[in-house]
Amino acid sequence: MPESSAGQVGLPCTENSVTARAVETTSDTEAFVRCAYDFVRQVGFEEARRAFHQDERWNSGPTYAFVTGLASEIVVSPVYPGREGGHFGVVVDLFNSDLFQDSARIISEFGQGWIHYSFLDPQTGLEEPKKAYVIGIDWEGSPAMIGSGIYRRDLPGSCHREQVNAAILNADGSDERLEEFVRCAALEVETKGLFATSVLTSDPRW
Amino acid sequence: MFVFGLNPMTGAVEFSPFGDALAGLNVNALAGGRNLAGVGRAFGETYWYLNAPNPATGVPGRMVVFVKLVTAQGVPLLFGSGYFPND
Repeated sequence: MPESSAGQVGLPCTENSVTARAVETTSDTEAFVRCAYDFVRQVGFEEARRAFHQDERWNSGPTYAFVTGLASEIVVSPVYPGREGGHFGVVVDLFNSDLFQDSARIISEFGQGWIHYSFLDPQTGLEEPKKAYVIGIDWEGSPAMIGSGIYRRDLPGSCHREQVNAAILNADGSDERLEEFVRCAALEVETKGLFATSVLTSDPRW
Repeated sequence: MFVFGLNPMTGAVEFSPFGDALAGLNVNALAGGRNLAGVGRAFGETYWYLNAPNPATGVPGRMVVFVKLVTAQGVPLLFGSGYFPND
């Protein structure tokens, strides 16, 4: 377990430099989790729990810090506050093993790392790939992990036509939507070769 | 340090500088049966945290691996490398 995590990916843990709202990349996520780890050590469990729920620095839109016990205890969960104190139990995802057992193995043996998993998005009904950076932490005497997840719609396992398409880009002309659109189109070319050009020029999706 | 290629459907080693030493090795078997090759296919690139034999010494140890899904002459391949962190 790291004594101090701040600065390991080049960002100081100040109020204005590492916030949930600013997290966009995997490097941002890693810095965010390292700062959340340091924050717990600085302010203690009670204040950290409150802040992870209520402060925009730690909880904004899809980005938030969570704490989960290595036996799948729901310790701090801004998205499932009513389930805190309970357990996730056995969660076998698309990759054929218990997500929390695998996470506990990584924390126990490596101390920290990226957890890649799938989850059921209640909005789309689709099993989506998601990844989270986690660091092992002793939470009130129990082994746990503190982490934050990042969701991408432009991975080989995502890129669903109902989520990434020209109509959505037209409606939301942001850099994020544009990058998703191009990455998913590039995946079409990677997998289909030049045959993709006919699809890319005729399918209304593109 | 060395690079290797895996079959993205099965997780089996396709090539490595150690030839027969890693032949028949399947990455999915190194992580409690988790479908790590499937993780690589779904995410395009990923980290794996394994307990794997060090082909240089023959001794099993903790291994951090990064793999990237590539297509070489139409054939998909999980291309990667890893290191054994010091205990």
